[in-house]
Amino acid sequence: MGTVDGTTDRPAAIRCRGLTRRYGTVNALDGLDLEVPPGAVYAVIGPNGAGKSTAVKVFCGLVPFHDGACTVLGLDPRRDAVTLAARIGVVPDFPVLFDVLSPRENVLRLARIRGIEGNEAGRRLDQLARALLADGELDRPVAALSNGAKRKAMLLAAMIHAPPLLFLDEPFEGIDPFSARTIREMLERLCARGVTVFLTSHVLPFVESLASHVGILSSGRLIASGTLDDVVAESGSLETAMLETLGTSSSAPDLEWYTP
Amino acid sequence: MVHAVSGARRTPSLPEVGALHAAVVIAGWRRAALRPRDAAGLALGWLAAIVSGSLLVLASFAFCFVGRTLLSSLLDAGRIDLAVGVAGLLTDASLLVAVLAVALTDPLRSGLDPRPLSVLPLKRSERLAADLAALVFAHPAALAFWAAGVALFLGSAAHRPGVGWTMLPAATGVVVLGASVSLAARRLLLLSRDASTSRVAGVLLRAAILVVPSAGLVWIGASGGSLAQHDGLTLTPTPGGLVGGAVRLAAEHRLLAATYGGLLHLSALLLLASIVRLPLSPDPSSLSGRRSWWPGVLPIEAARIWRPTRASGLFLQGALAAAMTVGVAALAEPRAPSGWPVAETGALLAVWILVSSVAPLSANALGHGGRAAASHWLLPESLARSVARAQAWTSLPILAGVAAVAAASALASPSARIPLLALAAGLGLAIATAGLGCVSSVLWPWPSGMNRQGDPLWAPGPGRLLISVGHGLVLALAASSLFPARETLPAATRAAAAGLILGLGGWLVTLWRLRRRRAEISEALLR
Repeated sequence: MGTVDGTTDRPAAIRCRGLTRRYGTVNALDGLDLEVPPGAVYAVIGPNGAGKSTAVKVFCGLVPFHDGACTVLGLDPRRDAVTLAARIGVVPDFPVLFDVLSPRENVLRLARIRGIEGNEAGRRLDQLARALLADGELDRPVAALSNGAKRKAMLLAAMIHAPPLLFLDEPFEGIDPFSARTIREMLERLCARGVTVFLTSHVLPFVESLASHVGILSSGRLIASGTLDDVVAESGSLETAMLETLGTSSSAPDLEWYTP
Repeated sequence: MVHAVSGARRTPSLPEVGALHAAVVIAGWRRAALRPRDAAGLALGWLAAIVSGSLLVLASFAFCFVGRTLLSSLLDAGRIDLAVGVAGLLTDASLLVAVLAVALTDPLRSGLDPRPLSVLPLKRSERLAADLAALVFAHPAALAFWAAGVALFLGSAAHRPGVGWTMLPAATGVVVLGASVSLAARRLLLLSRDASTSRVAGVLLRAAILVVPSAGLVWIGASGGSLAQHDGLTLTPTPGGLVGGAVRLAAEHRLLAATYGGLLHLSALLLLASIVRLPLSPDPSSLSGRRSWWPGVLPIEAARIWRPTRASGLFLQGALAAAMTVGVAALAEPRAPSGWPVAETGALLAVWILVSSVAPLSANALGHGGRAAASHWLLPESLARSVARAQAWTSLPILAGVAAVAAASALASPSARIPLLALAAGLGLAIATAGLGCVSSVLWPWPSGMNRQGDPLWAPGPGRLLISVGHGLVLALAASSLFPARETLPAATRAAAAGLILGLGGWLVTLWRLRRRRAEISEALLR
């Protein structure tokens, strides 16, 4: 495993050693060693089933880990899950908004639970919604929104309390290029102010344009990690770097039977 | 500063979480009413929402009113023994209905989806309290235990205000215990859907954690019973037994009745103390997936059958009416002239009410269960596997039939005959529904009433006719127990046997039709 170049002297936002999470007999995380410096946009990439979403859930304290050690913002996700939940924003791979409520109702009520005063929450929500949601989407039931709009609404809920650490599981899934660009620019500005972003994605061009650090995950283990420049340096592109690191070549079948 | 918390704080946020639950419940009703797009559909949607909601509230009021009137009348007439029995039945029945209402509601669609709360900074105890408050005030299950609690208080207060106040702890205890039991049922349902605990043993272990206070509850009930026996009372070791004891003591102006109510609160506390040890969000992402093993699938499928409000509303109404009919018949029997079959007539009337009310649900089960079974049988690759699966499926109704016959033989005493008759008739109806549902799904696999999403799950028109005929046959056989033939063949055996024959016939016809029209049916089912 490569090492991460620390960009500041501040303690790491996320640090884990030998992290293991099992589902039955399958090790979703298998001795994961990882360190995310504060203020970084750390992108985890890898094939399906590599353990990316599990890593997000373990770091957020949503599922416990079985072995190893882990601190997120200096807190143990197993022991301090409640305190941690107040200090992070999460867009996980499952719905976290009530279907029958609109994004406005969802976000304002969740903000209230987090202790944000109504007017302030409304101001933040309007600003975020203007940037990300189309007209009318803010007040339509979540169930009636497109998949992309649902993801964006979840992003609003994750950001409304201005957490210093954001976990985004596939933030660009189903998002149109215009919104994706807005999200990218927004995250870049936040990171410039010291916010740390941990994201997983299969959309490698966006990862290349946004991430400061990259980790390549396979079978629950980090097989390459470092700054984006370090990881991409020899390969020329992130896609090539990932394919080379994973050692996979094209195995597309010819499908000789598939003739119109 | 990276590690500083900006704009967010950890707060005791119970009121906010409660408000969120309330908003979700209200929005659920609003959305259900506003779903249809056109004006006529909108009006019908509102009407359906108002009618079904009113029916549930009305049924709850009726339950409460009948309980209150019975209790006060019996206390006024000095029939303490009967009043004790009514109070006990009222309590146990309300707890059972509350658990059933929770079990038959999809936890993710009932305004109590745990996933959005899983990412919030809430302690276990806070989330437990919020869930409990939602079940006490927002979930339809609350209509059952509130009705019982209010009936107990008003009924005893109508007899004498002092008695009412002494009964207050027991009445509120029924509400708190009802909500706690419902919450336990819901947590177990959610656990059963967790991928990481997909082995039965895991869920059983967690269920055992809940059993600890339940055992405590039974112990408390039994102790209460012993205490009461010491006082010359006889009680059953259930919450209803405790409430019955409280009624007797309250009627005798003894403040010890309040202690019995306190025991109910203590039981609820013990139960909650156990529930709080259960994982709140096992793996939130796993909750949305369907599981292939039955404990996980059962509540989802049950919810799909139950969900159309007309079906569930009618069934609840019918179940309450049937329970009241049996209760009234049991109360009237001692006063009736000897030889009058009051209890038998009451039981048959109750069965008839249940059959009528269960018809829409049966139609749902018929359309859904039959379709699912037919789809299941079309998937295997070889006929041998298909037959093996068919054997496995048919063994279930055979086992059920054997169990019913064995029960009939074992309990063929006059006192056990009425509940046994109802049980066997119900079993027969269930088996007949499954078998006939299969037949109708392969005979008419393209019902016009079934939409692409699979719900509402109304059966095809001819299928509904078929199920009505099957129900009628089973009921007619059960009813024949009133005539001389009952001496030679117990009615319970006949009803179960009729259901078994119809069910088996259904599965056999299905197999036969599948072999002949496999491709056509596959296409229709996949449309």
